[in-house]
Amino acid sequence: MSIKVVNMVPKSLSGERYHDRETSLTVNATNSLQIAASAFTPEPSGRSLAPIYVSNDGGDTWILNPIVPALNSPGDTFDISLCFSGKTSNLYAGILLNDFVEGQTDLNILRTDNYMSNNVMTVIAEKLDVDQPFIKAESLLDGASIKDRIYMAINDFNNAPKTATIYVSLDSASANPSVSSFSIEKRNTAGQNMPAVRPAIHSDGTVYAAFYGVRSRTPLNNRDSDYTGDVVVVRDDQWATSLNPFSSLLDPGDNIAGRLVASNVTVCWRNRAFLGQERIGGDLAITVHPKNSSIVYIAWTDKQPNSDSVLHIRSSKDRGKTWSSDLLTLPNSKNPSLAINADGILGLLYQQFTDKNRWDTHFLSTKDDFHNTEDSILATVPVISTGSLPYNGDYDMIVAVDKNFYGIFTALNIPDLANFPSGVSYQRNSDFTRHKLIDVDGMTEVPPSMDCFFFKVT
Amino acid sequence: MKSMITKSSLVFKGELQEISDSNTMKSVISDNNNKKIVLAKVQDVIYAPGNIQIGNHIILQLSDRGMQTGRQMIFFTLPQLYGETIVAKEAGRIDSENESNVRKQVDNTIQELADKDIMNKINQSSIVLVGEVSNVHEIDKSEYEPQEEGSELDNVDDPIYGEATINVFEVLKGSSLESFGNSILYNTNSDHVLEQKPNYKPGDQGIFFLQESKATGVEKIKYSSLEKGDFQPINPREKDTIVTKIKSLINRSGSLAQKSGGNVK
Repeated sequence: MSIKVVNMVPKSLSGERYHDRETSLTVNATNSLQIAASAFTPEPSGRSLAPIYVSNDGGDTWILNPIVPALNSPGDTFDISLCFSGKTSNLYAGILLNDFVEGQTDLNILRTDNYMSNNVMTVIAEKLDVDQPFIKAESLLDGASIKDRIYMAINDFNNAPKTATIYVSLDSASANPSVSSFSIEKRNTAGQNMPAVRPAIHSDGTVYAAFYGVRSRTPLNNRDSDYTGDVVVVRDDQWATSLNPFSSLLDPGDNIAGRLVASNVTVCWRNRAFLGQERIGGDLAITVHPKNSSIVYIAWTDKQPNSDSVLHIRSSKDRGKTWSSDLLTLPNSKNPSLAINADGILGLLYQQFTDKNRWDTHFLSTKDDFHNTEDSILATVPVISTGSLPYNGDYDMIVAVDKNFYGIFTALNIPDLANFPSGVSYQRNSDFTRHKLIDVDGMTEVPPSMDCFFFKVT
Repeated sequence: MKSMITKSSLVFKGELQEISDSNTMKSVISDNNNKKIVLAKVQDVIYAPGNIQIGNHIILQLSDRGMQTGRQMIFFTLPQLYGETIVAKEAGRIDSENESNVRKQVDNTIQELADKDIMNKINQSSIVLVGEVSNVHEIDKSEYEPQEEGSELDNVDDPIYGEATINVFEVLKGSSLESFGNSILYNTNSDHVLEQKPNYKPGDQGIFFLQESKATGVEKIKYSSLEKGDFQPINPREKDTIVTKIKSLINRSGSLAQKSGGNVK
């Protein structure tokens, strides 16, 4: 196994000191040299746009391409989730805009057919009062033509108290695509679902989604609540084309759509610098085997006696009907992301706060449900105070294309090989001997900040 | 020239050079006419909000056919891509002999645009004052959340209001201190770096542009400072110059303080 880690800040922006976090990444499955990524990174020259990171050489070099709309200023755009469609060159994005006028967050679903071009992405749908879009896309042959389909998981407050929602477009590449909204929570909630809602798509038309079903809430103070409920998986077997989508998987307990993978789970909502300067509020990940849509893995975090953010992994080999017990538990962990490659190897990306006051980013792989694992630390970096949340972000990302894994995460950018045990290369000017970042003039020292890092496992 | 300036976010004096085939950005630019693409070495920075410095190289997508290497010009550009080098689209160019004149006009235009932004902010504000934050505290959510269905939802992007106590040096526009009180509403959840919205800490000094608060449940705080640009921090050494400037803009806008002078606490 070979690992390559790349600091994604371009050389021409060597002076940048932004807090680049909450990362998303997608690889074009038909040409894996084409990769797009995102973070909370403002447009460098202050225009009312946000950039995406683009690479056309498989992630060795990165360019900032400001093609994401903003409303008033560069910082208005956040939560940028990206996905290539698969068989076309279309790149889709779900983004949030901070709408000053409405005082709400405004979702835009965007599309471009050339992620390297300077043309601002086209808005294909909008919605107010939502949070944390997470988009997946697929292409399928429809006669002689190829159709793109997008599945965007989102916490939609318009659907309260059942806010876990999937937006579906069955022909998202068309000129005026229609987008349908489906609340996937079928049980009563204590007002809402948690922000993390995650989809996983298989090319045979199976669509899974995972969410937290909140059954009770205990507010503690302004920024803290404890939520208790279920970790739920729904499934649709036909691309969510039926009249009653996401109802293929019933729970044997109550015969309601949505299998309870875990019950009586408590999630700490701490909307403040809490775990290594990071806020926590429940993380989720789900992935499906690319060659067998019956095999699905889920990761979530919850509160346990030993830690307020314990990561759990479970699997199902029968399309979500039955689930394993915990295959892995990890204390003080966040931001799980899962992917399965063409050889059936499961890759797990996660970040763990250690007793040395550091955030460690791990890539863990297994062929046998964690009986045997290969654990690589991609970064082990000290915690600093940035004064803004989230710290690393509410998610990071790993994807698999063929046999390879590609991923992205946020870490402190001090150029020190001891902080990157799997190796690292920087595009921005840096001095690994003195552990200093250097500005574009080649002389001026730049203070450390949080950058996004790409990695590839081959 | 003003049109070129307003279309630009990077103005510099540069010398044209050959682009090396090894430059990774060359292959990225989707322009079939390579004669339109040149490399400019920055010899002087006239306007750059980012981090462009003398010695930087910038790939220019020219608005017309190519120019000879070795030529020096002042380029008005709009950066498009940021990679090994910056790729910028040319909005215009003029002879480099006019550099001092260009610099003056660019400075004037930028100042005009900045003044316009401040003027808009003045017009939108009920009160403009100079002061220092002496204390901050987060307000309990139960005080201001409207009691209606769905209001209890947790959204990380929702505001969590705070009250900032201001030691007022001078009121430049609007009500007297008696009606203002000395506390303002702000969002403790704001990311002041990314969003550029106020998120105060004691000791912050500057100009406060305040609107009448529309937040329900916290009516005791009459004025809010929630949006981008509602607070302009100032270095104490530059305070007098900036305050004089703001006063002159307020004079121009015709909205003087109802009561000026004697407001220093």
